Amino acid sequence: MPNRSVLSPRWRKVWADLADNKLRTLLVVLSISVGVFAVGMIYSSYLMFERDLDRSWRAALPASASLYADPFDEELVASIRSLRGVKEADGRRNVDLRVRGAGGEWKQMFLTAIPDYQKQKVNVVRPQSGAWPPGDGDVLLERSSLDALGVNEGGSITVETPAGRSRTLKVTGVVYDPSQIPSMFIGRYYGYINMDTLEKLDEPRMLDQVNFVVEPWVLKGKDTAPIEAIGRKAWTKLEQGNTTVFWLQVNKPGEHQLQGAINAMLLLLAVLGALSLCLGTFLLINTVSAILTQQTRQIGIMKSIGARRDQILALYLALVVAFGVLSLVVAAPLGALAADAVTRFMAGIFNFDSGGLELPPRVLLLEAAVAIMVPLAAALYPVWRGTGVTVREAVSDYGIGGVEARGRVDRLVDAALQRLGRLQRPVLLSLRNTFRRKGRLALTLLTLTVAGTVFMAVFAVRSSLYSTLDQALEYFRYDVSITFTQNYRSTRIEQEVARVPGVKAVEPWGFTSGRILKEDTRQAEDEASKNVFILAPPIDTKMVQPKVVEGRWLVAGDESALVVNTEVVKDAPGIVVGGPAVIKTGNRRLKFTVVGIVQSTMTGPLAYAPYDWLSGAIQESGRSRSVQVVAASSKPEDQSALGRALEEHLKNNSLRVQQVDITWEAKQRIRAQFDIITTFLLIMAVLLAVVGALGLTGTMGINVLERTREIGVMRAIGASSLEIGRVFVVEALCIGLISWLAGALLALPVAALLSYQVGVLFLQSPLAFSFSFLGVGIWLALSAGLSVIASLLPAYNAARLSVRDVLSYE
Amino acid sequence: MSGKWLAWLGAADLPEPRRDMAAVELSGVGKVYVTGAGEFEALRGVDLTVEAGEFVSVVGKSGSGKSTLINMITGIDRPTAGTVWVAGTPVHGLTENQIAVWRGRTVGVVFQFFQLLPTLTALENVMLPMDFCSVHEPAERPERALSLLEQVGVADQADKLPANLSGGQQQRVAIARSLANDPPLLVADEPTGNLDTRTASAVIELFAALAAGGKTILMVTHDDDLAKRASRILTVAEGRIACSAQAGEACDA
Repeated sequence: MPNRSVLSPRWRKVWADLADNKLRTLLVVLSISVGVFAVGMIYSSYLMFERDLDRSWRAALPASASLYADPFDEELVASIRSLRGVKEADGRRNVDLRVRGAGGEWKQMFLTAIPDYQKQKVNVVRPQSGAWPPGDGDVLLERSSLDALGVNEGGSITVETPAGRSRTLKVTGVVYDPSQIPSMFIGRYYGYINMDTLEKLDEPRMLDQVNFVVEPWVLKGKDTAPIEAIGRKAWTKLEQGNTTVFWLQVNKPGEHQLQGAINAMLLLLAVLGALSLCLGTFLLINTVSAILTQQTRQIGIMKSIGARRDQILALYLALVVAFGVLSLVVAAPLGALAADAVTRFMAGIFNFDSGGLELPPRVLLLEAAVAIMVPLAAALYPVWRGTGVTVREAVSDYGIGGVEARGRVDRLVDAALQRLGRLQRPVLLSLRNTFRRKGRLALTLLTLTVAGTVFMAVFAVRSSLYSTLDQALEYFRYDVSITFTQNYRSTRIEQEVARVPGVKAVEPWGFTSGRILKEDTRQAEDEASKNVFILAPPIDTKMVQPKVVEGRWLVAGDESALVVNTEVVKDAPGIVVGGPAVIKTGNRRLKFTVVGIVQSTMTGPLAYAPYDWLSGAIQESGRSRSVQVVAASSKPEDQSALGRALEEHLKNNSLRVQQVDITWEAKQRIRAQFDIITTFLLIMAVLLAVVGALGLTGTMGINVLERTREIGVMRAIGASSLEIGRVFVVEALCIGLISWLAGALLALPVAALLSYQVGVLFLQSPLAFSFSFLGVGIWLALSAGLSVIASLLPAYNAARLSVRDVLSYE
Repeated sequence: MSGKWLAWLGAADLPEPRRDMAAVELSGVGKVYVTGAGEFEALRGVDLTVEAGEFVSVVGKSGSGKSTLINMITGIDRPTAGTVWVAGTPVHGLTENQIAVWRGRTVGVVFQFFQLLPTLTALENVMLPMDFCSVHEPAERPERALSLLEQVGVADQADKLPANLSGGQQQRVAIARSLANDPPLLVADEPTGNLDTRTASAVIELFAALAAGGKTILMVTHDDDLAKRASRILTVAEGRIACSAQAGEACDA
C-alpha cells in the first residue's frame, strides 16, 4: 500500500505550492512579516510604555503642579494644603549649584532637600540602593545622574555653595525620582540631602518649592486649566506670605511629562508600520497574481475533473492564509523581542523601570488579524479573477509569457528608447521587458517609490531638525552664557570677563521673570499668564538676532518698551503691538508698552526690555544677573575650555556662578535628543526599504519564471549565461532608478509635510524646513545596490536554465 | 438566499436526469467564435446521438471542429445554437458551477498532454476528483484510487510525481483519474497524440475494455488505424458530421 498523506489531495496541493517553491514562500512570508513585525512591535511597545511609564510615574504620586519661589517656611505649605481643591501638598528645597565631576570639570547640580523622607506625599523619591534617608553631610544621587557624574556609591562629590565655598558630600546611596526629566535631556544632575546638610551648604532651613495634587473632582479630563486656576491661588497665597514666586509648572493630569513626546513618536512609527504593511501587501498581490497566472492550466484541469470555483477559491485563499500564519510565526516573537528592546532603551533614556517582556493577547490578536486578514483581503480580487478562468481558456492558453497589447505606455517607451540612440539588443530587451507587465510593474514601483520617498523624507526631517536648532541658536549669538546667584555691578562683570584670554565680546544682561496680567489690578493676578522670562540686553546688543514678526525691536531712547516672542502671544492673546502689558514680577507690577513681536525658536515664552529701564524698575540699576560672551575661537573645544576658564576666574574673583551654558554643548545635547527621533524614523525607513527590495526580488523571480521559454530561445540562439543574467539585472536596475526618480520628486512635498508634523508633535511649532540632498544621494546608491542584489538570484536562476529544461517546462 | 447565489456556492441541485434519452444527444448544435478577424463558425447544426456503451472515435482534419464538438459534450464550451443532452442532463442550460459538479460526476476527461497536477503524486491525482465531488467516503478514496491505478497498470507508480513518470504512464494515470468518480461517459481529446505507437495501442485497448465494461467513450484522434478500433467512427469536416460509420463499414459520404 502506498504512503497515505494525512491531508486530502487538494490540501496536499496547497502544501506543495507552499513547500515546493521555497524562495517564493520565503519572500512572501518575509514581506508580510515586516509589516506584522512593525505593527506588533509598535503596538507592543505602546502597551509596554503605557504599563511601565505609568506604573513608575504613578508610584511617585506625581504633582498636579509645582510652584518655585524665594525661600519660605512650612506654614505656607500648610496654607496651600488647606486651599479648596488641593488634596496634598509637600514642600522641598532646591539648591542649584556647581558640582565637580570625576573628570575635574564643573557641572550643574540640582540638590533637593526634603524635610521628611519617610512622609513624602507628592513626587515621592524612592530608595534604590545604599542609605535611606540621607544622613548629615550625605547625598543620595538620582540613578540617571550616577553614570554621567562618574561617581559610585561610597565615593564623594565636591560642590560649590552659592556663597562660593566648597563642600564635600559623601555619596551614600542611589534613589529614583520619576518626576525629574532625566539628566541626559536636561544636562544637569540630581542629588538628595536632608535639611541639616542644607545648613552646611550655607542655605537657610527653608523651602522654595511646593508640589501639590488636586482633588479628583477638580479635574476635567486632560484639561490643565482647573489646575492652573488652583496654582494661581497658591501663587497668591505664597505672595501674601511675602514670598516672590518665580514659576508655576502645571502637569497634564494623569500623564507623564514626556508621555506626549513618546506618544507622538509612536504615532509616527505606527504610520510607517502601517505603510510597510501596505507595501508588503502589494508584494503579496503581485505574487498571488503570478501564482494564479502560472497555474491557469491547473485551475482548468481541476475544473475539468469536477472542482467548483468556490472550491478552487478556497484552495488559493488557504495558501494566502498559510503565508499569513507563517508570517505570524516569524513576526510575533521578533516583534515582542524588539518591543522589549525598544522599551528597555526608552526606559534607560526616559528613566523609568521596564517591566520586562510581555506578549499581551491583544497584541497577538492584532498581529494575527494583520497577518491573515490583510493579505486575505488583498488577495481576494486576484484569486477571484484567476479562478474565473474557464476550462477551455485554461487548456488553450498557457497563461505564461503573454505580452499585453501595446498601448500608449509602450509607444512612449519606444519613443524614449529611440531617442536614446543605438542600444545593445540585450539592454533594449531589458528596457522593454521592464514595461511588459504593467500592473506588476506599477505595484513594484509603488512599493519601491514609497520606501524611497519615506527614506528621503526622514533624512529631510533630520536636516530640518538640525536647521531649526541652528536657527534657534543663531538667534542668540553668544558662545557662553553665565548666570550668577545674585546681581553684580555690570562694569565689574565686564572687566572680569574681559580679563580671561579668548574672550572676543562681553554683554552683561539683566534678567527677571514674571506673569503677564490682563490689567493693573489685584484681581487680574488670579488670571495671569504662565511664567515669562524677561531678558534685558543693552539697547545696542550684538548678541540677539531677532526675527521681528510685527512692530519693531528695541531702539535707543526706549524706556518701558517691551518686545515679546510669539510664545508669549500664544499664552496671553490680549498682547498687541502698541498696547499695554502689565507684568507681575515679585511684588511689583511693571507697566510696559508692547513695541514688537519676534519669532520664538525653541525658547518658550520670552520678553525683552531695555536694560537701563528694567534694571531701574526692579531697583538693580547698573547691575546684572548674567553675562553673555562671544569667544575669539570658533572651535567647539576652545569654547568649552573658555567656559571652564571663565567659571574658574569668576569664582576666584568672588563672583558666584550659578550656571554656565556653553552654546555648542547645548546644541550637541539637543541634537542627541533629535537623533533619537531620527534613529527610530530611519529604522522604519530601512524596514520599508527591505520590503521594497523583497518586492523587487519577488517581481524579478516571477519575471524569470514567466519568461522561461524566452530564456530557452535566447539560449538556443547563442546567449551566454552572463548575457541572460544581465538582461534581468539591467531590468531590475531600470525599475530601481525609475522608483528613485519618482521617490525624489515625491520626497519634497512628503518631507515638508512630515517635517511640519514632527515639529508640531515634538516642538509645538513647525520646523525650519531643509531638504536633504544627502538622503537623495544615499537612496540613489541604495536603490541601485538593492536592485542589483534583488535581481542576482533570479538572474542566476535564469542563467542556469538549459534549452532542455525549458523545453520540458510547463 | 436566491438560487443564483446557491448556484455560485455550488450548493444548487442539478436537474434530475431524464432516463429516456441516449448517452449523448446533440440537436442542431452550432458554435460561432468572434475573433479579431471576424466571425468563425466552428460547428454548423450538428445532430448526434451516442448510445450507452458505444466506443466512438471522432476524426477529421485540423480545424474541422472535432475538438469543439467534444468540448460541447463535456461542457467545456457552450453552443451558440442547439441543445446538448448528456446522460439525460441539458448541459447547455447549466451554470458554470453546475457544469463543474455535473462533469465531475458524469464525464471523465482525458487530455492529449495528460494534464496531471505536477505537485501531486499519481495516487493523489486520482483521488483529487473524488475529493472535489465527495462521491466516495474519504477513507475509501486511497483504496479506490489504487485499484484504478491497478486497472490501468501503473499501481507500482502510485507514489511518484508526474515528472518522474513516462508519457504512457502519465496518460494511464490520467485515464485512472478520469474514472475516479465512476462516470458513465469518458471523453478523450487526442489521448495518444503524445505517445509512441506501442503505448498508444495499449491505451486504446484500455478504452475498448472500458467500453466493454459499459462505459460510453468518445475519442478524438488523428490516427486512422487507432480510430478503426472503435465501434463507430465519426468524421467531422467544416463543422459538420460528414460521416458516421460502424466499425468495418465504409463511409458513405
